Amino acid sequence: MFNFFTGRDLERREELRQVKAALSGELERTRGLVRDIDRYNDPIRTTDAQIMDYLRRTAQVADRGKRDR
Amino acid sequence: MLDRALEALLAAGGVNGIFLVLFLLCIIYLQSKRDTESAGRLSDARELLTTAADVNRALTVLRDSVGGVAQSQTTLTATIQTMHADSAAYREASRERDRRVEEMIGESAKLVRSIQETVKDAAELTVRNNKILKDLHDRGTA
Repeated sequence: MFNFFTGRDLERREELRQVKAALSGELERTRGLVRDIDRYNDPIRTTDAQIMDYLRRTAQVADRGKRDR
Repeated sequence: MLDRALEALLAAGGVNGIFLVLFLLCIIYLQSKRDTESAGRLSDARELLTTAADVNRALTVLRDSVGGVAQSQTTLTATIQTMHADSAAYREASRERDRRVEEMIGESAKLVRSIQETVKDAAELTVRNNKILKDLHDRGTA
């Protein structure tokens, strides 16, 4: 069968295949990084709420202490 | 110039020769076009790969920063919990001290009242004794 592709075409196809494989790897890495960031995000939000709660309660205790004195 | 070339081709190979040449020219043009397009696609793909690698580098820095923030928050939470417990304990100790001071003030007030009553009784006794002494003196001198 006659081959329509020249040597340069074949080289480019091979290079394009390699670039696509590398891109696929980068995309997988991106997904992993986004998953990691999401995993950190929830505890940060929870801890932030806890810190605000403790700060509020500490301020209340300090106010009560001032009034008592 | 093209006319003369076509005439020469017509004389040499006839109509079939002209079509053959035109066909070859078309093939060369299409091959060149495909070559240019594939080079463009490859260039685009390389650029996309570079951009993806840059994005991943930025995301890695972001992930590390977020991890640091999470760790700092954990430390901060522990510190604030300790502060909260310390302030609550201090307040409780302060209340206990105030209660003891109030009790001491109450006891002192009772003691002062008792001393005042004793002094009053002593004053009355002194007046009475003075009166008795005066009576005795009057009887003695009478």
